[in-house]
Amino acid sequence: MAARRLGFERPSGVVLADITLTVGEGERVALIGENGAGKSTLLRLLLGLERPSRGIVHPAPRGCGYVPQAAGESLFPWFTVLKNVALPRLAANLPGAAEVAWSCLREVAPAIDPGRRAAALSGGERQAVALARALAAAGPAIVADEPFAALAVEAKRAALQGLDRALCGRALLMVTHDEAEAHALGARIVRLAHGALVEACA
Amino acid sequence: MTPAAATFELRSPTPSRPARRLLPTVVFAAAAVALWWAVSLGAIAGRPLIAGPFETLVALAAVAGPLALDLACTLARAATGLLLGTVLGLLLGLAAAAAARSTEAPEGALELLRSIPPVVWLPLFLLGLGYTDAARIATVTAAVSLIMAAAVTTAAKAPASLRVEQLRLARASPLQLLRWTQPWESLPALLVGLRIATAMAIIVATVAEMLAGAPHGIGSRIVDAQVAQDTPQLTAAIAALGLAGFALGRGLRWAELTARALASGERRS
Repeated sequence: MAARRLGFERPSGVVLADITLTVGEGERVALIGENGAGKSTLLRLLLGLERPSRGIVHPAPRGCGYVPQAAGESLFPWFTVLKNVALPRLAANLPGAAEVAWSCLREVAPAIDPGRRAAALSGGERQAVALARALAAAGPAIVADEPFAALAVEAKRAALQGLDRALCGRALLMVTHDEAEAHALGARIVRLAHGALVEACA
Repeated sequence: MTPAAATFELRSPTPSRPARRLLPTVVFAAAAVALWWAVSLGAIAGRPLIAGPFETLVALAAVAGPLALDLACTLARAATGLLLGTVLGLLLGLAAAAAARSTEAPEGALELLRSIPPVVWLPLFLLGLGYTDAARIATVTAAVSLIMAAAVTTAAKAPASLRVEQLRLARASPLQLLRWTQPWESLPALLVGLRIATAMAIIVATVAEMLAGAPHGIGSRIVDAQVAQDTPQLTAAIAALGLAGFALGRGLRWAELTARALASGERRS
C-alpha cells in the first residue's frame, strides 16, 4: 500500500498535507504522532475507507486485516468470539475459517473463551479479539490503529508476542503512542505531526 | 461502639433495596390519587370536571364487560392499522432511502405529509369509504405509515458502522452484509418508530371513533358518556384507555431497550 503527495481536508481544516508513504511487502511500519496528527485518517485512506482530497493512494488489497481505533465497536456482539474472529474468512468463503480463527485467538488472547458472546467481553478483551480477527484475515497486510491501547500489561505482552509470531511475513502498518511497541515488533517508525510526515527513521 | 455495631446502626434505618425503589413510586401514586380526588371535588358551571377515584372504580366495575369489549374493538382497529401502516411504511421508507442517493424529494414529501395532523385524513377516507371500519383503519394506517417510513429511512441512511467496514474490507457479499448487520443495527431505530407509531395508532383509532362514530369502541363510549353527561363513565373509559396505552408503551419500551442493548453489545441489568 502506498500514498503519494496525499492530502486530506475536512470542513474544519487540513488533516493531512503532502504525505508520501510506502509500506512494502512484509514490511512493518509504526506510525506515531500527537493526538490529532492525522494517523487514523491516514490509515483509513490507505485502506480505501476515505477518499483523499488530493494525491494518489494505492490502497491495501481487499482482505487485509484491520483493527480500528474503536475496536470494540467493530465486533459483532450478537456472535460468539470465535465467529467474530472467523468472519473475515467466512465473508471471503475461505476454507478452515474456524481452525484459523481458533489458532489466531490462541496466539493473541489465549485467556478468552471462544464460545463466549462478544457482548459479554470487557473493553480490553474486545480489543484483543479484534486483533485476532485482523490476524485471521487472509490478506497480505494488517492495519492496526492502537491495537494494544486497552490491554493490561500482561495481556499486551502476550498480544505483542502473538502478533509478532502470527504476522508470518505479512506487512504491518500500526498506529501507536508507544515506541517500545514498535521496537518490540522491529517496525520502521514514521512520525506524523500537524498532518505532515516529518520524520522517517529505521 | 464496636465496628459491627456501627455497621448495624448505619444499615438499620435504611430500607432494603427493593423497598427503597418502591417507596417513591408508592408515594407518587398516592399523591396522584389525592390530586385526582381533589380535582374531582371542584366544579365548572355546577358540574364536576372528572369523577373521583372511588366513583370511577364503581363505574369501572359496573360496566367492566362492555368496557372491555369497546377497548378490545379500539385496540383491534389500532392493531390492524398498525400492521398495515408498518408494512406500507417499510416500503415507503425503503423507497425514500433508495431514492435519497439521487434526490431528497421523496424524503421531503414524506416530511411534508408527516407535518399534517393524521386525523385530518379521516374526512377524506369517510368520503371515499363511507362510515365504515375501513375508513377508520385507513386513517390509522396513514398515520402509522408516515411514522414508520421516517424510522426506516433513518435506519437505512445511517452511516456505515465499523462492522460494515470490516465486512466490506473482508469482501463480504451484499447478502452477507445484510444478514450479519442490518437486522441488528436497524432494530433499535425501527423499535423507536414502532413505539411512537403504536401510541399514534391508539390515539387516531380513538379519535376516529369519536368523530365518525362506531358500533363499538372506546371513542364511541367516551362520546356517549359525554352526551349522557355521565362523568363517572367518561372518567372510567379514559382511565381504561390510559392504562391500556401505558401497558403497551412499557412493553414496547422494554423491547426497544433490549434490542438497543443487544445491538450495542451492552448487557442489560
